[in-house]
Amino acid sequence: MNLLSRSEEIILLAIWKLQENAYGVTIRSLVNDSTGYEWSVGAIYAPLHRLVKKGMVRTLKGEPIPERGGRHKIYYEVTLDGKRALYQIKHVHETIWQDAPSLGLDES
Amino acid sequence: MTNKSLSPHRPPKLAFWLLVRFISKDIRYSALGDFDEIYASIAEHDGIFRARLWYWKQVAKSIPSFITDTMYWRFHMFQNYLKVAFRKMMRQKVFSFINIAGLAIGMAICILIFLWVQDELNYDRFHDNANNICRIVMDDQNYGVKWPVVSIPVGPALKQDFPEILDMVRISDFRGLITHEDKKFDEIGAYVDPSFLEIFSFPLERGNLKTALSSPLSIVISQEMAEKFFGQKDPLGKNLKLNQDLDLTVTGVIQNMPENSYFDLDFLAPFEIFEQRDNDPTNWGRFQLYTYILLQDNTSFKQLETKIAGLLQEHDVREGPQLQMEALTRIHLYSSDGGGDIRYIYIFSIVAVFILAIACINFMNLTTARSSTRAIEIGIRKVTGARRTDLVKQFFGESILIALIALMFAITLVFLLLPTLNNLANKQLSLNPHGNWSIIFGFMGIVLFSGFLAGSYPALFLSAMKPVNILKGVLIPARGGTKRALFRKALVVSQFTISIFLIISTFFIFKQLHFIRHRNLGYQKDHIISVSLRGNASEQYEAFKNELLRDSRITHATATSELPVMIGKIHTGYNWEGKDPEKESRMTEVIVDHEFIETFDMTIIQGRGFAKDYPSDSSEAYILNEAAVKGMDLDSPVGKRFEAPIHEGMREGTIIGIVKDFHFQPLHDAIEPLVMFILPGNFNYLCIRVQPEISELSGTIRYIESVWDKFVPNFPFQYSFLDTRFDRLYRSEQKTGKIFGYFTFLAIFISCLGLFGLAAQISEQRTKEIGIRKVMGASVAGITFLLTRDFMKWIIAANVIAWPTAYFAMKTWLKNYAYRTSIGIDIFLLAAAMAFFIAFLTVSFQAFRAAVADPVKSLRYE
Repeated sequence: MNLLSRSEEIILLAIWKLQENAYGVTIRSLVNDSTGYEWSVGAIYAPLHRLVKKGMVRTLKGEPIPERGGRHKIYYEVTLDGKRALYQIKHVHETIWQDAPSLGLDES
Repeated sequence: MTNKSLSPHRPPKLAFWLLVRFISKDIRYSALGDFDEIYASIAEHDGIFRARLWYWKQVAKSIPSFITDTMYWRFHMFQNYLKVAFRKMMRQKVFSFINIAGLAIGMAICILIFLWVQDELNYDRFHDNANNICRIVMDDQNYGVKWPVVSIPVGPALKQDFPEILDMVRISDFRGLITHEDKKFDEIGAYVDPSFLEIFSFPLERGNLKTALSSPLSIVISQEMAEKFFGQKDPLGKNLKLNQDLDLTVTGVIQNMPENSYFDLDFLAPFEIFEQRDNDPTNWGRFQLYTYILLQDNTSFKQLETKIAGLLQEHDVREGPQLQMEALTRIHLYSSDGGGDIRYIYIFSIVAVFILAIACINFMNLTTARSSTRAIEIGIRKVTGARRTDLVKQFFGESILIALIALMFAITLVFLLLPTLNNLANKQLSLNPHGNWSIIFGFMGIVLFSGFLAGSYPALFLSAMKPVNILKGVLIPARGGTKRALFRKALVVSQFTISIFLIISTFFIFKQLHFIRHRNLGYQKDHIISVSLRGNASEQYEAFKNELLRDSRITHATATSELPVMIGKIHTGYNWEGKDPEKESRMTEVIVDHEFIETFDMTIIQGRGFAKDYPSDSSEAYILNEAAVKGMDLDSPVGKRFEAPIHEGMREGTIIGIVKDFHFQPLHDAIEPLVMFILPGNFNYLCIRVQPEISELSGTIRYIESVWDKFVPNFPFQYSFLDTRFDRLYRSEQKTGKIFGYFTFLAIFISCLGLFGLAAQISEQRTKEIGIRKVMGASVAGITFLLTRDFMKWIIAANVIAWPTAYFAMKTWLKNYAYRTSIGIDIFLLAAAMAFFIAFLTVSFQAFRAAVADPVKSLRYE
């Protein structure tokens, strides 16, 4: 089993969740919102690049737009390997959480 | 990319630039896009300032993670490269030694020459006005005379007539006897205008810059002189006596004039003294002193020069002499009286590059020769994913590393060699990087240059090898192999070409020097002591001479206006019987006394010499040299009427004899027409010929001194030997010859180091072949010959290239001399023989070792 680091896992999940609209800016804002603290762009891209290298994410070129200084948008898409990894993580989590006693915290 | 539709909000340029540097290549494109997009949206909602703040924050935050991400692996690879480089160096100790030693010597020479060149180029650049100071030169094309000397009124007229000329200073230098109480020293000084201290930057230690030279009885002295006369006491306001008759008050002390200045004066006296003593200070035609002018910033040299050219003619000076300007900073290297020579700068710079190139060739050669041992490493690296650029970087890195190590040794060498060079070049160079940035840049330059040059072949060719071939075992592809061998041969040939060229040049320099020193000069220069006549010695010389001649150790004595090693006063306006009025009459003139010709053992070929028996000789006799007679077109010159212009007018007389041509100028120049005559009161030197016994010499000199003290008690006794003065004329050639000799030796040494390494490599590669040959019955001599033969062919090729190059170079160099040694084949053959011999020794040592090795050992492991 190929375990992912926490940041890779979060980003991979974010890409899957964003589906068609997953590129640098949206990924970052989703991750920021859900973790509650601000990720620097570098902090997003280092794991993102590793995911690409591991073959779990592939890139697609979008339209060039003026807000990006005339650059193309680079969209990210989860590959089959990525989906398997996500599934595995989810499975591991669920299996371990199953029947685990409540943490007794105020879960809101 | 559509650049037309850019967003109005662009991120700050500097931050963007930084970001581009630090983001790794793989994600640069999309990350930069994101940054721009977020920046634009913040700018729209919260304003530009906030957006900028955010952008900078992001840059600051992103850099560390990007760096660690990318540098981590680079660092690891770098560590690996270093480790491999050091292992290679340790394993191949001989080769590393040859590489590093060769490079270190080459670099040391480069650094030394660099220091020397830098010093030469910086002459007189320390003046604040360095670029705006010029010297006025008088150029008289009618007589072929060009000398930086003009007449007294020229300076003030220039300053008055031309607004571009801010200031001027006239300088008349002389040797003066300075006395203070019982202290008495001869010093070199000058009469200068008060503006001297403001135009040039010779800082005053004591005294006031504006007023130091304004009083006509003041004197400014150097620190050295102040210490000599006054010790630690304050010199200001003290009295100094100049030449026994002038009381001057010290009004200032200047720092000693630096080594790298054309000027070397110990005291400055007001120009007024000089002007008052001159009997005709408004004469425009008497050229007698130096004049420097200070120009306004950005003055056009050429324009001003055309404006001042005809100044002398406006003041009724005869047609001919034109004024020119010469920049102060060019005097040292480009002027005949500057002491330096720009040609030597070029020659030595080229030699430095040559020697460094030889050392780099060693490195290239040995690395290429050993490429087979690295081939597997390259193959593995390529297979595990190294790109070609990585390998290129690795090899360049390696050679730069070796160059750096070599630099350390080179610097040590420079420290050891600097005293010798300073001694040889008569300089005070130091390897002090403090405040001398160009030295540090020079070092970096040398390291990078030699690193890149030396590493270029392995980096570019080895990295191109195909991993499949390497790992299959086809180490050196057949075609590439011959090409590589050819390249290697070419390199060795070029090394030896340079070495042979240097050997031939050195031999020729020494041969020419030998030729000069042993040429029959036409007069006797040995066993002659010259004494400058000073004070009242000139008037009393007759009595002085007679007193000297009473001692049997002194055989001859004569008084003369100039020493025969260097007679330079050219005059015009001579007249003789049957002279073509249109003809120029330009002659060198020397004033002598009756014994001149005997003292110097000159030969009279027609007529007779001066003799006391003819009383008229001292007032109306002339002796000419052969060159003069030839120029005058006279068939039987003796007895003809001759007139020479002297101070009081024309001096009429007859030609009584012709002296055989003798060399009264350096052998660079042909012998010119010369006229001698007797004119008491114009003598500057007394030349004394003594017995040749060396043991008597110091006693004789003591005797001369005692006589001197009796006649001229006020002036210290100073003497010199004529032959040392003669040698001094060729000092720059001698220095060059010596330095060339050292360089040649080092160049040969480095070449041999390389040859030695290459021979070792080749005999190692052919170990098995040699083993088999021996088993089959080859003799040791046969194998040594086999291994040596190849190298000898290269040396022949090197000779073929070096001979004609050296021939033309030497022919050009010898053109400087009117009298030159012949270019015979002997020196070429000698140089070739030397190269052969040295190369043979180097190679045969290795070859012999390979040949006597036990074949069992070399064949056993199969």
